[in-house]
Amino acid sequence: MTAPIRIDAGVPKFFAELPPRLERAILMLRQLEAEGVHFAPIRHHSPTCAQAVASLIAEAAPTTVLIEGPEEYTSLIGELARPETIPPVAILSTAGDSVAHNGFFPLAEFSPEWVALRAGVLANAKVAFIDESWSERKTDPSDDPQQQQLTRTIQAERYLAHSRVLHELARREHCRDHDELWDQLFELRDLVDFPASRTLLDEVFVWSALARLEYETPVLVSEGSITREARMAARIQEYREDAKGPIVVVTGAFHTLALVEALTMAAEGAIVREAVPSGGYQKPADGTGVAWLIRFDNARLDSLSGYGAGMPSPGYYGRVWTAPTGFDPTRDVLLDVAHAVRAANTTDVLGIADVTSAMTSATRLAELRGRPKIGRTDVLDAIRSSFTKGEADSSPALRDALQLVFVGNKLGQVPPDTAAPPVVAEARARAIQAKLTVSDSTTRSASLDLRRKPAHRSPSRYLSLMEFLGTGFATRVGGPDLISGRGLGRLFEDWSYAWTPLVEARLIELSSFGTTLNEIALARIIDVEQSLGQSANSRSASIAVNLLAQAATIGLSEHLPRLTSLVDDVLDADPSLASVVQAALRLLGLWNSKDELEFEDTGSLSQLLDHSVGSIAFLVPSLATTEEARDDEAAELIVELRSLMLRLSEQAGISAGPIERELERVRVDARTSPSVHGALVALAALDGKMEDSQLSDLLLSRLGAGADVERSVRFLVGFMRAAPDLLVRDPIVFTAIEDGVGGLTSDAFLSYLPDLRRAFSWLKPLETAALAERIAGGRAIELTMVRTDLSASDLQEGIALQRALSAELSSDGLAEWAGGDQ
Amino acid sequence: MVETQPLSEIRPPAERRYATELVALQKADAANGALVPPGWTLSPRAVRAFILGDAAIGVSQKFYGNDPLVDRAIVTLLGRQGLMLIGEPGTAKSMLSELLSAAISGNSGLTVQGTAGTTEDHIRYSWNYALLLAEGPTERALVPSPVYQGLSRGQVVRFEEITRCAPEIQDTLVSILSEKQLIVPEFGEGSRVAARPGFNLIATANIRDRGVNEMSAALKRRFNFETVHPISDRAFEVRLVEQQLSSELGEHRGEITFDRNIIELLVTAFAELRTGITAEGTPVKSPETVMSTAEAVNVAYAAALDARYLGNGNVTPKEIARQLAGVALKDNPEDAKRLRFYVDNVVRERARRDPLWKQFFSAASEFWN
Repeated sequence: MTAPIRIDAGVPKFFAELPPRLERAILMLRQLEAEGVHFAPIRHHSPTCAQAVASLIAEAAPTTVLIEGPEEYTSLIGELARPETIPPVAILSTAGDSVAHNGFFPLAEFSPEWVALRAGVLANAKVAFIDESWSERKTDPSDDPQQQQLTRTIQAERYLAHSRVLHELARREHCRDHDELWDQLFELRDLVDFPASRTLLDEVFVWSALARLEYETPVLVSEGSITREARMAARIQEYREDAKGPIVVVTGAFHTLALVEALTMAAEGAIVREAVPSGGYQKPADGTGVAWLIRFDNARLDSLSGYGAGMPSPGYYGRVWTAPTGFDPTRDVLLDVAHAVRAANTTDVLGIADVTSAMTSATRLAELRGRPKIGRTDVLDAIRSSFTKGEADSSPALRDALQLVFVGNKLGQVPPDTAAPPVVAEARARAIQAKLTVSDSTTRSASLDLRRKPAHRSPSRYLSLMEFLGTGFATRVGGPDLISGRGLGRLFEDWSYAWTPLVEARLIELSSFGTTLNEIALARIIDVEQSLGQSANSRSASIAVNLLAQAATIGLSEHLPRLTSLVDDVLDADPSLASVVQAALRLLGLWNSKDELEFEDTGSLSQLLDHSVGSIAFLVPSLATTEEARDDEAAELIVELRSLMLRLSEQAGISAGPIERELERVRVDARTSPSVHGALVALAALDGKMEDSQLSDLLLSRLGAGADVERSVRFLVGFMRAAPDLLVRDPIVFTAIEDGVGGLTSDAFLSYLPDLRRAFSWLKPLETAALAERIAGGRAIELTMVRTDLSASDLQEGIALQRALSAELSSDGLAEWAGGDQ
Repeated sequence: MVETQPLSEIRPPAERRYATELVALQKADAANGALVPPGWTLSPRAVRAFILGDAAIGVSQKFYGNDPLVDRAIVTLLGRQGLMLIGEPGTAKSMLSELLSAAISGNSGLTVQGTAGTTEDHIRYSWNYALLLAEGPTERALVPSPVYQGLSRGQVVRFEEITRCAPEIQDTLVSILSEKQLIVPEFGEGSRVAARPGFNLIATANIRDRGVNEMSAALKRRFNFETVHPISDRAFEVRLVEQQLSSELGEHRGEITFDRNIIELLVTAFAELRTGITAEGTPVKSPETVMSTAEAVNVAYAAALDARYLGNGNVTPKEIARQLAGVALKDNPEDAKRLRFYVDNVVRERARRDPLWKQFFSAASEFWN
C-alpha cells in the first residue's frame, strides 16, 4: 500500500534549505505514517509538544502508544494511570549497587510523556516504554560526579545546550540561550488544529536532527545512544508486527532521526540496525524492585533542567499548560510576582501601575522580537525593566517571588499503597554489616573506639548518619562530637540504638528525598547549603563548617571537596567574627580528628585553616567598636581567639601572624572599647609582650585617679575575664587594681559593685582565697554567706535607701538613730 | 539626508559617524513596510539592528554581550517611562545612550551633562537677558534647554550622570516626565510646551561612585532601570589597558619597560577587587573605590612614571603596589582593611607559586600594613 507523500508539510520555515539527509528523513516520516507508525518527536517537559502529542493521539487513534523510557517502567503503567497519581511524580531507577546508577524520570502534568501515557490508557491503547533498561545503560562519562547522585536524570538533553548550530541560530535571533530560541520557534505557537500540530512535530524533528548531525558516530556509540536506539527500533518493530491498529511513538526528538532511518532501511540507519544483537532482544525486564514511583516537586524538576533535561521554570509552564485556550497567563504571572513581593513586607512596593507597565513592556518585547505571543523571557525581561528600581538583582524579595512563581512549590502525589523504595532494606543491611542488632526493637548500646580501632569507624559513620536523618534509630549518648564541638578530647563514642517500626515508617517518608541513605543525607546538606547562599546575613562560616563536619562524620567523603570549597567561600562572606572563630575552631577539631574520619584531602583542610587566619584578621578590627552590652561576648571571643592562635601553630603548624598584627593594632588604638582593650592588655601581659613598667603605667592611667569610672570598670572586667590569674600572680597588676578600686568614691564603688563582683568571679576558688588573704593581710575576717531571694538591684536600692536615710538623719542631728558611728 | 560635512572633529556624533548605516536602515524599513512609531526615525527593529548589527544590510555591531538589555531599552523608550542606565564607570552606558538617541531621533546632541553645578535652568530654559530687556519674554529671548528642545521637537534627550546633580535639581524632571509638558509662566497664563511624540529621556548614572546623590523614589518610579555590567573578559581588558597606557605615555614610551605580565597582574588585581571574586572563584572583599578599567590605566601610568623618575625605568610589582595603595585607597579606611584582606589571602597564596606575585606581596605588605 502506498499513500501520497507530501513534502511541503513540515519543512521548517526558519531553514530555507535543509540538508538532503533531512529532506529524505521527512519523506520517510510520511511513509511510516502511511504505514501506521506515527512519530512524535518531542522536547521533554514542553507544553506545546504535549499538546501536539495529545492532538496526534486524538487524530491517529492508535491502539499502541510507545514511549521513550526504560522498558522495565512498563510494569508501572498501572500505578501511573491511577487517578491518585498526580504529577509532578518521578520514576526512580535503582539498578546496580552503586549510587551512581540511580536516576530519575520526572513527569510533570505538561510533559509529553505523561500526556501520551494518560491519553493512551484512556483510549484503551496498549502503552509501553521501549528504551534500553536502566541497568544496561552505560554511565555517561561526561556527567559531573558531584551532581550525579541528586540530579541524574534519565531524560538527558545536553546535546541541545551544546549544539553549535543552535547556538549560532540563537545568536542570530538575538536569543540569550537555546531555551529562549526554543520558545521563540516552538513554544509560543497556537496549535489550532491537527495539521498545525503535525507541522510543529516535524519542525521539532528538524531542529533536533540538526543538532544530531553535528555528532560524530563514535561519540554517539560511546555515549550509548546507538545501542538505545537499536533497542527502541527493535521494540517498535516487534509492536508493529503485533499491532492491530496505528502506533504512536513518543521519543526525544534527538533519537527520532535514527529511529526513522533504522525502520525505513535507509543506508544511514545501518549502524543502528547492526547494533541489534543477532538473536534479537529478550523480553523486557520487570520493573519490580528496580523502578519506583515517587512524589516529586517543582523545585527538583527545575534543578534537573539545569543539567540538560527539558525545559526550565516548571511553575511558569504549568500555568501556561492549565490556562484556557487563547488565554495569556502573563498578566496573572505579573500580578502574582507583584503580590509575592508585597507580601514579603520589604521596602520594595509594586503597584498596579508597575504591573501595567510590565504588561505593556512584555507585549512590546514580544512584538519587537517577532513572537506570536508573550514568552517566558519576555515576561522576565518586563519584570526586570519595570519591577526593579536600582541595580539589577538588588531585591531579595523579587528574587524569591520569581522563584515562587516561575519554579513553584507544587508537590506531586502517588497512591498510598505504592511499593516502598529500597532505603529501608539498605538501612537494615548496613546495620547488620556494622554488627548492630536489628532483629528486635530492644534498645541496645554500643561503644566505639575510633582512634585505635579502624574497624569501628564505619559503624560510627552509619550511626551518625541515622541520627542525622532523624530516623529515631540511634542516639549519641557520649563521646567526642565534632558538630557541637563538645567532648572533643574523649576517646570512646557511646551510642544507644533500637530498630522499631517507627524507624521504618520514617525511612519510607524520607525516601522521597533520595534513593539511598547517603542521597537523602546529601539532599539535607544541600538544603542547608542553599540557604547559606540566600542572603548576606545567612552566610555563616560556622554553619558551613558544621556541614563539612557533618558530611565527614556520616561518611559522605565524595562531597567533601565541594563542601570544603563552600566553607572557603563563606569564610570570606561571613560578617561575624564570632562565627568565623567558631568555624576555625571546628576546622581545627576536624584537623585533629582527620585520621578517625579518614579525611583524605588534608591539604585542603590545612588550606582552609590558613584561609580562616586571613578572614579573622579582616574581622578583628570590628572588636574595637564593641558596645557595652556585648563586652562579655567580646572578651570571651578574645580568649577563644588566643587559644585558637596557640593551637593553630601547635597542632596544625599554621602561623597566625595576621591575626596577631590586627589584635595589636586594636590594642594600641586609643578608641578601642575599654573592655576589649582590657582583655587585650591582659593577654599581651600574659604573653610577655609588655614590659612591667609599660603595664604598670597603662594600668595606672586606666584605673588611677581621674579616670572615667565607667570606662575603668569596663576595662577591669575585660582584663579580669581574659586573665584573672594575673591579679594573683603579678604584683604590678595587684597593686594597680587595688589602687584603682581603692581610689573609687564610695558612691561609684557601690554602683559598680555588681560589675566588680562579676569581674572577680572569674578567679578560681583557690585564687579567691589567696587574694582574700592578701587583701586582709592576715587580719581575720569572717565571711558569711546568706542566700536570699533578693536580686542585685533590690540590694542596690536598699543600700541607696539606707544611705539616704542615714544622711537625712545625720543632717537632723539624729545620727545615732541610724546606728552610724558619728 | 546624507551628511556631507568632512569628519574634521575629534569625535563626531554617532548620527554622523554612522550616517550611511542609518540611511540603509531607513530604506530597509520602507522596503519592509515596517511600522515606525510616531516621532521615531526608525522602527524599533531597525533601532535594534543599528546597535546589535545586521550583516545583511551592512550595519555593524556596536554593543556586545547583552542583546536582551538592548531589547528592553528600546521597549522602555517606546513607553511612558524614561530609561535609566546604571553601572560603574567605563561600562559603555553613555555610548549606548548616544546610539539609542541617534537611531531613534537622528540626533544624539540633546544632552544635559549632570554636575554638582547643574541648575534648574539647564533642565528647563533660561533667557537671553539683552533680548529679554529689549522685547520682554518672547520666544526669541528664551534660551531652550536640551529638554525643552526634545519636548518641542519630539526627540530623545540624554541626561548624563544624573546622580551628580543635587536631588532637588533631579526632581525637576519628575513633573516633566509624568505630565510630559513644561510650563512657561513668563509667556502668560496656561503657556506650556507639550511633548510631541518621540520625546523620552535616557539618563545614565553611577550609583556606587562617590560624590553622587541618591535619587528620590518619585524620580525612580518614572524610570525603568537597566544595569550595564563592566567588561568581564580579562584578556580583552589587558589589551585595552595596554593600548591606553601606551597612548598616555606618549613619548616616554621608549624609556620605560612595562612587562605584559605586570599589566596582567594589575588587571587581575583590579578585576578581582572589583568583582569581589578571584580567578579561582574565591570571594574577596571589594573596596568601595571604583576599580574600573580607567582606574587601572591610571595606576599603570603612575607606576610607569614612578619607575621612570624614581627607579631605573623598569616597572616592577613594587611600583604597582605603591601606586595601587595611593590610587585605590582614596579616603575610606574600610578600603584599607579590604585591601589587606586581599593581600593576606589571595596575594599571600599566589606568592607561594609565582615570583611576580611574590614581589607584589612583599611590596604590598610593606606599604599597606
